[in-house]
Amino acid sequence: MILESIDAAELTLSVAEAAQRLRVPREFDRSAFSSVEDELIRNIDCKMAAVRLPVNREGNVIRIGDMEVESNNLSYALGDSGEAFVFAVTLGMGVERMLTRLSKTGVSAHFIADALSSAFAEAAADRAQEILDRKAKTKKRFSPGYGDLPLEIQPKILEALKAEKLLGITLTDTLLMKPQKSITAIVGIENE
Amino acid sequence: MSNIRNLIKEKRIFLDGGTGTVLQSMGLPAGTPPEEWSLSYPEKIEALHRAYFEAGSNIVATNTFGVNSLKYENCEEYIKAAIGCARAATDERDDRFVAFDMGPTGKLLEPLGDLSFEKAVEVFANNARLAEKYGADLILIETMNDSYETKAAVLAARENTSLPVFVTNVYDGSGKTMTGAAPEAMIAMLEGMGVDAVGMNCSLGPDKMLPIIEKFKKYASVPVIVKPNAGLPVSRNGKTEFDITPDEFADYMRKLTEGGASILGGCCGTTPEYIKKTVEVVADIPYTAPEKKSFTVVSSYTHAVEFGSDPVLIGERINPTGKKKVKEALRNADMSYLLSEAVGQEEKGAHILDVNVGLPEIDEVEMMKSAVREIQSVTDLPLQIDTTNKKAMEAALRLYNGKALINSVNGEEESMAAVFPLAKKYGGVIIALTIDGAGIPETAEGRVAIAEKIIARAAEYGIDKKDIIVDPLALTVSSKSDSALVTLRAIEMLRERKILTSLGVSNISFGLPEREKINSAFFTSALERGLNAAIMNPYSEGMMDSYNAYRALHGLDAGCADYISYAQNAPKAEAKAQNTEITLHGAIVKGMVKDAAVRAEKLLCDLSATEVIDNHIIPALSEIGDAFEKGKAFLPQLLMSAEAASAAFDEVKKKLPKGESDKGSVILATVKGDIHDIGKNIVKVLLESYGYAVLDLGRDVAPEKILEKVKETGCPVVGLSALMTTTVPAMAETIALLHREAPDAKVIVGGAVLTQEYADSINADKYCRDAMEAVAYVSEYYN
Repeated sequence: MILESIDAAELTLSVAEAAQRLRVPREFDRSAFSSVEDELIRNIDCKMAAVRLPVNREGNVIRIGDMEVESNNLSYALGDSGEAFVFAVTLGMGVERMLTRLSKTGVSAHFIADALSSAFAEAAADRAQEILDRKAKTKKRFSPGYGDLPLEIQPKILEALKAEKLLGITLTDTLLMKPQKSITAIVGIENE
Repeated sequence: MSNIRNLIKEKRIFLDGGTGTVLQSMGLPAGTPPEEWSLSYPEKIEALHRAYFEAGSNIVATNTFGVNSLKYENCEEYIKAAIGCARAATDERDDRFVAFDMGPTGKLLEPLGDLSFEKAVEVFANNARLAEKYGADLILIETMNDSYETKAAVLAARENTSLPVFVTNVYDGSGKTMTGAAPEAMIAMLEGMGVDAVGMNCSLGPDKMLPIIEKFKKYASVPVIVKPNAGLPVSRNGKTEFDITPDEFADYMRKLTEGGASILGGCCGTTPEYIKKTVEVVADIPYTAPEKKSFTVVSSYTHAVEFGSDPVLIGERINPTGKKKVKEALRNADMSYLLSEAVGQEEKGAHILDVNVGLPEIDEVEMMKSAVREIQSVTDLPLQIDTTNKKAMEAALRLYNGKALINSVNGEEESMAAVFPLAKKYGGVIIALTIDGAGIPETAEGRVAIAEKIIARAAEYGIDKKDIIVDPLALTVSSKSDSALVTLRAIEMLRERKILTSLGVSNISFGLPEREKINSAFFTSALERGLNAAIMNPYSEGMMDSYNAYRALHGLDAGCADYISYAQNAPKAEAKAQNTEITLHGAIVKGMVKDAAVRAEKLLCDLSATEVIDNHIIPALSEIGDAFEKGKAFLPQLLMSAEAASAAFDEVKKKLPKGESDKGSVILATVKGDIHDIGKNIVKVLLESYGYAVLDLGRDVAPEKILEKVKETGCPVVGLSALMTTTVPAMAETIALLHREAPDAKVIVGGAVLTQEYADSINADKYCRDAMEAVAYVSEYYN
């Protein structure tokens, strides 16, 4: 089990990602939003947890640890990996509270904070993967809800990571993560 | 049998260690919930408990951590079996106890999550009743990340059983729970609710608990529990082990014991060996009972506010008395005004917010509930529940996440009989007014006598003097010239008696001109006599000047840092809002909300409302709208402009007769099951900026509720938003219901996953690709 706190300063926001989420062009000057961005950064309490699990296949079924799933996209992403990291990363409850507050008090600030925090969550997933890369070389990560990897696998992933205890991540009835700005992913490890 | 409540005050007590890890070493397959074994291998569960008793545990926790009615239909079966296993392991010895283990539900509570507070109480209540029915000796609420969920569990245990209650929360490396609560805030709330022991469990390891135990030692009056894990799991030779050994663990437990813990156990990864070593290692440390503390503390879900030498500011603005805007907001159930007052007062430096929603024509209980819920979702300041309606007070105290300030009780028997039981049950610090059946005594001595009577009566209910703050009442100096002196004298006398004081300061100037001048001078005088808290207007510069100067002059502001930052920041913000260079048009295009309101107000001195709308607001909106269409301005800018235009419209509306202000109305909602509200809010702010009235039903709204609103208001346009593929069917259901029951209503739909084709297939009247399209449709409809 790998458990780490990631300092907000270690998160590098991708200009393209941020621009896309904000629905502005890449060259747009973000400084007009700096007060929202600064407050967001102050509220980030980023943590990650990861486990390294064996990958087995039986026909179309991929078995990762004791999780079983059928997904062509995941199968492709894992390739021939015999092991994978399953990880979760979250920006924490402070960001969640900030978004909740803004959703009731300011539409533009809410939109900006939501867009930027989504971009920060991606940056956090990138950073988490860098940390894992130091332990074993990883491939491209894949997250539930994308392609044909069903969201229904989310409870199993969070359980394997003890994510409620260690990261404070829970699920809503519709399988959304809380805090919202959290990402789970499965990433294949290159065979040695 | 010995009484566990007494025992923990007489000697050190040992809990057990981990369950899952030990069971896995006994063959529990990974992925199988431990509670399954209470039914399938009860002998193994009993053996686990017995091993802990033999290692020195006095209390074992039942194998019920993950059992609750949200996860299992047959809770009772699991709970009965689990308690049976633990009871069997006690061998009926009277020095062995069974704690019913109550873990979190696995869901996050509203407003952040989707589990309602009362539903959480119900889930825990079911467990608590079964725990008592099947013979548990106490309830151990553990591994709680969230203060609100902890409160729900404690309330359930206290309301449904007479069992002792122990509570442990999880604190992380920052010394707070995952939802941001500091230990002193948790202690305040939990002791207020009458739990028997408090503490921490799990966490990252025992070393991380060392800095936190100091807080518990400082603030807790009840025995302190520590139940650390054995560090993190590591894989050694294919076996899962934990990175802290039993000897290292015991060494930390010794330090934690020296630090003030007296109920010791282990969490994830610990085994009977860890407990055995711990028992041995602390044997030579003498037991010391926890000291009773005398802090007067209220709390929110993040932090505690302490009353003492540093004065506490209680923001008074969420109160309809004499405030037209608050009255109007309450009558229209318009929470947004109350929320902006909450955020505004926090920004101005209030420490606590008073919440009073009493108006004769509204349902105060329901309004109080929604005010507390909503205000706590935008600010983490503790609240002062201000009402004379006992039902509203109880509803608020129940729902409040933390230990509230209660406003108020007075010297009349009826008042004390109503308020004290509520404070005893839910916790709280009570403001006691020095008035009784005979009125307000004219002398300071008379007021102090009432204060002492109230404190004595509170003690009979088990409420400590530390949880009473006395308000010796300020009466207007214009009708009686010694009234300020009497109040000041009463403050002094109360201070001599070590009784804390609070004052509604501004009453002193009632009926006088330039009230702020009198108020701030009186405030300074009262602070000089020892006033501990004031109910006041944080927007009043004079009052804030008095407060900041007092702190700087009385050694409460190291290096005058707070004063300097106050002096530098306060006037600047004002100047910015009154920027005289910019026009209303410019303020809207640039998205400057405060400026737009100020400029609109100025223009309305000379121009009619229609002129301001037609010649200033609409042209500015058109300019930014055109730029948006042409790809020269972007969504965030469009939204900022819309907010500025709305602020200008609010000023215009003040000049218009009621009912003539709106061009038309639109109901908006995010459909059932969907909790995204950004898209809906964007449409809302744009519609409002064009002068339409929006009835916002919020997110996760049931079809029936939307229909009910359509019928109630006759509003002909309904906008529905859905952002998830899983919730689009709820949109279809809503449209079908509306078309059947309210055939005249037009339904417009939008959301990331929708397409024209899909909108057609669910019979929407209009699909809007973006918010501007919604505005265009609504404008066309009403023209």
